[in-house]
Amino acid sequence: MIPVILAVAILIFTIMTFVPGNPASLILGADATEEQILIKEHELGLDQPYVIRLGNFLKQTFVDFDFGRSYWTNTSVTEELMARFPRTLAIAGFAMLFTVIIGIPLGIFTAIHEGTFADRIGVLLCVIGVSMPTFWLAMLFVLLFALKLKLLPAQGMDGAKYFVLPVVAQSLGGISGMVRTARAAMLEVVRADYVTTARSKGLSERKVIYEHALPNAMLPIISVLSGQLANQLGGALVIEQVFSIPGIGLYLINAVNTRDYPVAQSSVVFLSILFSLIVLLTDLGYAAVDPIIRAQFVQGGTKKKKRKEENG
Amino acid sequence: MADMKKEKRKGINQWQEVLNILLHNPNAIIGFVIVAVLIILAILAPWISPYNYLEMNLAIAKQGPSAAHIFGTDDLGRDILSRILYGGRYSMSLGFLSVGLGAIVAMVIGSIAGYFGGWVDNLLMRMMDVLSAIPGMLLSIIVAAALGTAYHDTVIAMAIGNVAALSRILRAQILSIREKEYVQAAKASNCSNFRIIFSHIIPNSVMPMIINCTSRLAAALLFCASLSFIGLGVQPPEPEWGAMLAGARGYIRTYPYMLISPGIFIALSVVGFTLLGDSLRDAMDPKLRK
Amino acid sequence: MSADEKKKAADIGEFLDVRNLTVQYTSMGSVIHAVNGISFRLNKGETLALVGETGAGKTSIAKAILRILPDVSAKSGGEVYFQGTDMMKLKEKEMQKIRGHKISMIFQDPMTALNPTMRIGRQISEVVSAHRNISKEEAEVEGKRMLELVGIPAERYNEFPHQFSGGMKQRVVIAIALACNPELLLADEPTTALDVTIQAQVLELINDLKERLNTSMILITHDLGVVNETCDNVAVVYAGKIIESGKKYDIFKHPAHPYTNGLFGALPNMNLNSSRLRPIEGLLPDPTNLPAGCAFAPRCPHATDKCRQGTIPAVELEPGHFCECIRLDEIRKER
Repeated sequence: MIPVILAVAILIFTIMTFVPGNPASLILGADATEEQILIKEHELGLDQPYVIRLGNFLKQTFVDFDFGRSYWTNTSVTEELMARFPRTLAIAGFAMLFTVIIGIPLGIFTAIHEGTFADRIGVLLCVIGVSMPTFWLAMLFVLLFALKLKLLPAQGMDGAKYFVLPVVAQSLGGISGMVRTARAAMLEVVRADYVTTARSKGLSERKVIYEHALPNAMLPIISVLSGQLANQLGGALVIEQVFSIPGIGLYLINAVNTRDYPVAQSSVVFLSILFSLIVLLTDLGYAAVDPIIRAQFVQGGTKKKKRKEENG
Repeated sequence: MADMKKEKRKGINQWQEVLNILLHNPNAIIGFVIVAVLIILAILAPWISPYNYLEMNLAIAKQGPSAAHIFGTDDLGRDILSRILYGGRYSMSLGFLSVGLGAIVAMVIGSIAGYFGGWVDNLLMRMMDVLSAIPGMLLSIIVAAALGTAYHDTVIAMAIGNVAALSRILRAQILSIREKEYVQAAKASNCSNFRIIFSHIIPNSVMPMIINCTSRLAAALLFCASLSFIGLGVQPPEPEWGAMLAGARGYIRTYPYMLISPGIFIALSVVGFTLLGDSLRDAMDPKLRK
Repeated sequence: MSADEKKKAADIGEFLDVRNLTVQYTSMGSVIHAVNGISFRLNKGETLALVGETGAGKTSIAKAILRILPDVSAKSGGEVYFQGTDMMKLKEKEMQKIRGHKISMIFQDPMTALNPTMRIGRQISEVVSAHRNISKEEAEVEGKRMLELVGIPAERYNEFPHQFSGGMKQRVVIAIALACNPELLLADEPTTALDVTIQAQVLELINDLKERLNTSMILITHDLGVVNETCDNVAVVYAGKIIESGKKYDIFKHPAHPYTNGLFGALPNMNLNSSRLRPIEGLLPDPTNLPAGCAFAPRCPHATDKCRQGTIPAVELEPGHFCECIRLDEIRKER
């Protein structure tokens, strides 16, 4: 994982150097003189060659664990990230929690009752749920609950109340997606030969579903969790705009627009590290559940990559 | 040789069978109708828009839906319906182009990696790992920021997110086909590597990628809207649906009607492609045919 | 019991009596007639072979008897009397008591018949636990005993299916089927998916266990050699119907139906000096669109117009040897 993160950092840094616009002149404003711009550039270290700047960045980030200082406010990026991260995490995290806790059982339920009225309605609702842009849904919620009904606040973050609408808006899309995935996984498993074998043993239908079908359905479900999380993270970034919640999303987007390199780069590196950790966890979770991979871990890890590719 | 012909014949019959299954599936038909209607509306936009989508008229700005303007006018007096029709062009074309570009790049990378193996494969897949380590939206944000908000920049920004996963899928397919006999026969008869890749391997590996691409199309539409919403994709005065929502946001308290139509169209287009993608996937799944 | 019911009861075979079994699948608007009125009886201790080409509906027969057809797409009809009770009328809970306990099944493909995420020992012992009121430890002991019985060392009790070869997986499937000492075993092409050398071993195992435990068996196969080695009676299935049935010796010595003759004729004979195989011309009829009259008529070299109309009655050629063909006398004269 570490080399990948390093490569990500290098990639991001390189991409940012292609961003048009000079941070120095942007900070100083339209009527800055050439001389002032040059001084500012030197101050920010922008006049040094790419390789040296890259080296400094890498050393600063990975050796000193210092994400640098914002070009604009000169505040410590690390402090800002630490302060803002819990808010983004709250939105993405709770949305993910609801997605898993509500989505998976619901998906399995509809699969077991395939073809019934409830199932058909559920499937239709989920297609709609997956198709609505979360930020639009969020705005509709604000319209209804905050402005018309005045039940919940529309903006800001002075307490748990403020997170209700963003989390709910974010969750609906995730739940719909998870129901679809879980349903598909369960349907496929239920048609498998070994489920027929289990039935032929005279086991109760409950045992067949919960001890034979379900454990096998969990495998594909776990493998999509990391993708779902990527969606949730991305969605949280956008939703922060709608609700003006000062998380990493607003921080990053603002930085990108103002060419605040350290902030932008560090935010991306930070989020990528976070994401990679979670992917690692889900991979481990998958390996723990799948006996074939578990056995291979004992023998040597070469086949694990192959399975990851088959799933990805 | 007979093996190859048999696979090719199987390929043609497979498509007919898939079509047959699709025609029997109500979801597929609904999805197809939605997508077809939206595409037709987008193509015909210049002829069926009641007004010029760029034309500003502050005198009639911020008016709700009426007989003259079915979806109302926006804050600069532009007819929303016309903007929606033209917006369809942006959303759909961006969707198709970004997935298509991503798929083509993925095909090149995946087939080279899969076919040649060894250090080439390792290097390419490591690079894909790096790309995958950055959550999709984030990657698009950064690239869009670096490139700009021009149309082609947005295509690239959105395409990049697809490359890693698609190239892995293709590579896995190729690894399994590579060992099949008709490829070995082609090798034995001294076909060039290039020819083997293009005439034999790619046509037969395409199926799983196509299935994946249809669901990516639906996601691309959402992505495109999100990017525009936060200011990094297509921007006003161009009428992309997400950008229209961004503009409507400021008026959520005062003129909420501006929110409704762009969002509905985004949702509708994604529903259409999702239904189509689902049915395509079900139709091509060998296990579902009893 | 009324006089009518008594009369009916007297006619029912003691052990297994299948009457007019039908199975239909619906798929995308079309109906697949897999089993079209199959009737046969089995006595205790006997082995019946259901012979026919792949796709003739044989697996559906077995699944219909156990009532493990997929609910959503399959519909079955007819009566299946097991030890006097029509199982088609039993409630699901009562059926569950029979499955795995009195009647069990060996499946065709060992690679997919086992749950990949569950240890094989548990897959055997759970059958025992389901039907007997014993503790977990006792069930495990039974499971290990079954493993040894099928020739797998008991130490492998906690391993997963992917750690076994195809042949050993099939042995596990057999262990599962025999764990509760069933009275009737349905074996669906138990050796088809295996190598020839392993086939012989598995067959021997089945035979051995069958004799030791006095299990009755219905063996589904398309391999006439296997039939010869293991079975007492034979029923030839074509397009969902039994077109010939009788004792093994009779069928092998005097095959009557043109299809049966074709099956035997298609076997390569080492004694003859022939240079070509003699397959049966044509293909199985489309199960969504079965022809009227005799289903074999389109492929039969002796077919006449009368063969293509109405239902073909069964003729008893010798005691116990039945054949559904109306041209048997003429065919015999032609030879």
